[in-house]
Amino acid sequence: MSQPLSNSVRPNSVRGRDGLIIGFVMIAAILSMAFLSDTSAYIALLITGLALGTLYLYFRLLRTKSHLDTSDHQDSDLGEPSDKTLERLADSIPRAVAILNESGAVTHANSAAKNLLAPDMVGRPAVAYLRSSEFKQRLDDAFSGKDNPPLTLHILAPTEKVIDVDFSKPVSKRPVSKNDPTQNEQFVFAVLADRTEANLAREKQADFLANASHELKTPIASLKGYIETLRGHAKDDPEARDVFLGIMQDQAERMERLVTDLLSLRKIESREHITPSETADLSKAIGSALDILSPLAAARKISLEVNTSNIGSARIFGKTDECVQLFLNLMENAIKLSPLQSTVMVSLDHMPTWNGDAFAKAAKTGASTRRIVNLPPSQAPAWRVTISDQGPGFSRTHLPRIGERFYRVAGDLSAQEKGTGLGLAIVKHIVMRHRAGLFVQTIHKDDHENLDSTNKSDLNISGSAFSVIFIDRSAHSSDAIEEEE
Amino acid sequence: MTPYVLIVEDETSIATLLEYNLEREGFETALAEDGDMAIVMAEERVPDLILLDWMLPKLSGVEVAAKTQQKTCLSLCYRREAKKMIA
Repeated sequence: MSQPLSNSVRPNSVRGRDGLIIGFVMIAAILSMAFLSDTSAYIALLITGLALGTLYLYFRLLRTKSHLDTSDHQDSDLGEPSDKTLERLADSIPRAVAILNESGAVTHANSAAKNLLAPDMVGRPAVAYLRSSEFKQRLDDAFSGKDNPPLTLHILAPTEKVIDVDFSKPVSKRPVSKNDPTQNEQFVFAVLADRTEANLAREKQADFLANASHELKTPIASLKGYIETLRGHAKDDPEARDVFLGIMQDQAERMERLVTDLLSLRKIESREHITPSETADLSKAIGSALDILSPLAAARKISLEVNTSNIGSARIFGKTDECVQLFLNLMENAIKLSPLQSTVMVSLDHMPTWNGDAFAKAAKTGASTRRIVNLPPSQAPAWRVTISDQGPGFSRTHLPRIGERFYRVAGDLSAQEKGTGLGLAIVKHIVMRHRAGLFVQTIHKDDHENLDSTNKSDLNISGSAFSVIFIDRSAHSSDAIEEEE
Repeated sequence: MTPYVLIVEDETSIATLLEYNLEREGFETALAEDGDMAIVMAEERVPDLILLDWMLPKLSGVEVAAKTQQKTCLSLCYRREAKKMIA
């Protein structure tokens, strides 16, 4: 437990009090002299005053000595802190702090440091927790008083962590007693900062940039190649020129889609912490998405079945254009993954309470499920939008990564049919902004073949279903959101 | 005899570009859009050169290179890992 450091100023107060007492005795002596006329009485009083003053100073000196020998609670008049003062100082700093001696052992660690590294780190070498040869070198530098910029350590075990270490200048502590063997020992404060999360975010950002650049490289390489060909081999080939210009247009549109998706993602992420305050109608949003995708579905001979159970309007707090984009991305994926002449189902239904189970039949059918954005159960009513396809389904290896940027699950699609790789990431962020939940149930074609005939009747072909759950906030207004990682 | 090049690339725009230019330079070409197809085609007729994409549907470029045991594979990708494949 940290204690107040006010004890450290007590010696100064004591010195002030001594001055007052001596001053008071001297004033009393001068006043006595003024009133006493008898010389012998004057001398006796002077001797008594001197004797009292000598006695007082003697006891004061005894007390100071006793303080130096035994006290471990107060700072001394020598200006050096005691062990306990150093520890209290470390405990009072609102960051992870460990006190290290010259051999590198941890002599004290505050609770934040113990939480960060190990509860039993005191008495052990710091290098056992901060495994790095550079750490020892930098600790030696700190003890020799050299300038020491922060050291960043990547620790792999027991859990992967990135920790910044800042060393103080060396501090001497006041000896516990005259015979204290550590009286010449010095210490440094190591201030530790957990950078694991920040580092992870930076790595994610770097990966994202690398992936975005890679995605743009292919259409750019293609465009450059066609320009060179049109200037070279195809210079006098009008038939090839027409074909190539068409391909170049496709490539330019592909780059445009990627940039549009990148901007959409950025826009949604920047507003993710703000829950929409306006109302949106889910029925209308589904209708708008269906209108846009009807030509694609028709081209692939896929029938779009819509079941909204005669629901008029389904109002939620949400942004209509974001809801349209959410359904558009999910439906487009479903259409692209579906075999020719299959069915994509879109349903909207109202749930009296949200019990946390988006797919009641998952266990029975042997399908795999995943909570991409979790929504804790609630007594509030909810709207459920489910989009299901009869495609190949997602394999168990793909399932945990659905929603990651640039992670494509459509491995068997041709390059032209593949999207930007950002569609489901955008869906995930729209769902998070709307404080909704996103769940997927899938049965992969290989898993389906292994099911027994009874279970096959429940889900007679492979496929996937995405469910988005919106809490009906017209009835309840406080529900937490929790993203599953 | 005309040299025969097998192009393994799922990106149609790149494949068309390679096909056109190689044919204009006097090569005979064939196109495989995925790894499985590449293996079958390389077995049917052994190419003089395989131009191989790294990221392919079904089988990756590395797997195709290993299965065909082709000495003359050129990688069509930009990634660092491709160097290992060529080596």
